[in-house]
Amino acid sequence: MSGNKLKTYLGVSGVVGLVIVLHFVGALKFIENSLRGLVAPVSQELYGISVKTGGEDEVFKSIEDLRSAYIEVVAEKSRLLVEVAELDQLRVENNMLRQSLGFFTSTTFQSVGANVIGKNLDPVGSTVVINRGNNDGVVVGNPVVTENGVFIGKIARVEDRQAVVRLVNDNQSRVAATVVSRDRSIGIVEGGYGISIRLNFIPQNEIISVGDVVVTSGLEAGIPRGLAIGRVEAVEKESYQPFQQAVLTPLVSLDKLSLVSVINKIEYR
Amino acid sequence: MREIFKLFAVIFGLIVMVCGQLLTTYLSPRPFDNFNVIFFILILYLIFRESGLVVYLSLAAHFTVELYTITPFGIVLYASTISFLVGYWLYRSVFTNKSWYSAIILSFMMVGFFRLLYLVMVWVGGYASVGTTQLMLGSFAYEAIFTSCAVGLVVFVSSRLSFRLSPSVLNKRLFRPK
Repeated sequence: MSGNKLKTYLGVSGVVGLVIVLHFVGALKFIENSLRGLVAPVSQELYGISVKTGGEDEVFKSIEDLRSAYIEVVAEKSRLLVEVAELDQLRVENNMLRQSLGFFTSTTFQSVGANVIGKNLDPVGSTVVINRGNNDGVVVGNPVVTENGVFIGKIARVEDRQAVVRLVNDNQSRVAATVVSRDRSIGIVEGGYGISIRLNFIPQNEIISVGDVVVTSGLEAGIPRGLAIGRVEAVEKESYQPFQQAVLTPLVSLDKLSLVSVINKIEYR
Repeated sequence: MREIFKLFAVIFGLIVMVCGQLLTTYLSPRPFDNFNVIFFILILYLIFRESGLVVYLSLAAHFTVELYTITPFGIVLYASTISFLVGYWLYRSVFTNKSWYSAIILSFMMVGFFRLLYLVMVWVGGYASVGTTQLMLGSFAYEAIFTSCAVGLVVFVSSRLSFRLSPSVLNKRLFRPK
C-alpha cells in the first residue's frame, strides 16, 4: 500500500474513531436526539403497518383443519374454565393462609406504558425499539411485558427518550424461569438466534410435559416471579446428558408487538 | 445561502435513505428484507457522480442506522465507511470500464467487504456464535445478491437509455442518409 493510500485510510479511520469517541462522551447527543426525532415517527408508522399487514398467525389449509382446530379450542376452553374455578378457590385459600402466617400478601409492579416504534436493523439480534427511555425512569435490565402481562424481554440499551428491548428469542437473552408443574422445575430460558426459545438446565429426574406453562422464577434481581413466558412445545431428553431441555412457544407473537409495559419498580406488601 | 440549501438537501436525502431502509426491512417479505437500500443508493451515487464524498455520506447515513442497532456503537459505522473507501478506490482503479457487470461485481465486493468487517468485529466483541454466524451468512448472501443485482440493473438501464437518447445517436437515426 502506497504512503498516500495508507494516509487516506488512517485519516478516514481517524474521523470514524473521533465520531465514536464523541458519541461515548455524549458530545453528539443533540445530533442523535434530533435524528431520532426525525426518524422515529416514520419508523413507528412503518412498524405499525408491518404489524397490521404481517398476516395471520394461523393459516388453515382446509375446512377440516379449521374444524379440528375449533374443536380443540372448545375443549381447551372447557378445561380452562374448570382450572379457573379451581384457581379461584386456591386463591382464596392462599390469601387466608398468607394472612395467618404474616407473608407478603401481594407483589405490585410500577410500570411505564410504551409504544413499540421499530425493530432492529441489525442481523445479529432480535430487538425492538420503544418510545420510553431514561427520562421515563427506564433502566437497563428492566423486564418488559405485553398488555396482558406476558414477559417478552429485557431492556438492553437506554437513551433519553427511547430504549431497545432484547426479546426473549434473542441469541443473548437469558432469564431465570420455572415450569408451572408438580416439580416446579427451575431453569434458564435462552433465545435461539431469533427463531426459538428454550428452557435449559432442567435436571433429568424432573418431569415436564408438553403444554406446561413457563414463568419467570423471580430468582433474578429486578425480574418478578410469575410473568408468563411461554408454553412447552417439546421436551428434549437424552439419557447421557445431565440436563434436559424444553422448546417453548411464546404466548404472544414477538413480530407483532405494539403496546408494552416496562416494569421499573417492584414492591412487596 | 446556496451551500446551506445544499446541506439541508443532503440531510433530507440521508433521512429519506434511512427511512427507505426501514421501509424495506419492516415491510418486505423474507428474503427481500435483506436488500440494503443505503448501499444501493450510495453505490449508484459513486458510479454516477464519481465523488469521494460518498465515504462521508456513508458515515452520516450509517450514523443514523447505528441508533437502531443493538451491537456497540461504531461497528456498523466503521465497517460501512471503510467499505465505501475501499469501494471508491476499486471504482477509480480497478473497475474502470463503467459497465453494468463491473457495477455488479463492485457492489457485491463492497457489501461483502462490509459484512466481512462487521462479522469480524462482532466476533471479536463476543456478540456472535457459530449458530448466529450461520444464520447471518445466509442473510448477508441475500443482501449482497439483491443489492448488487439492483445496482447492475439500474446501471444497465441507464446506460441503454443514455445511449439511445444521446444526441449523436438521435442525430444518426433521424438524419440517416438513405
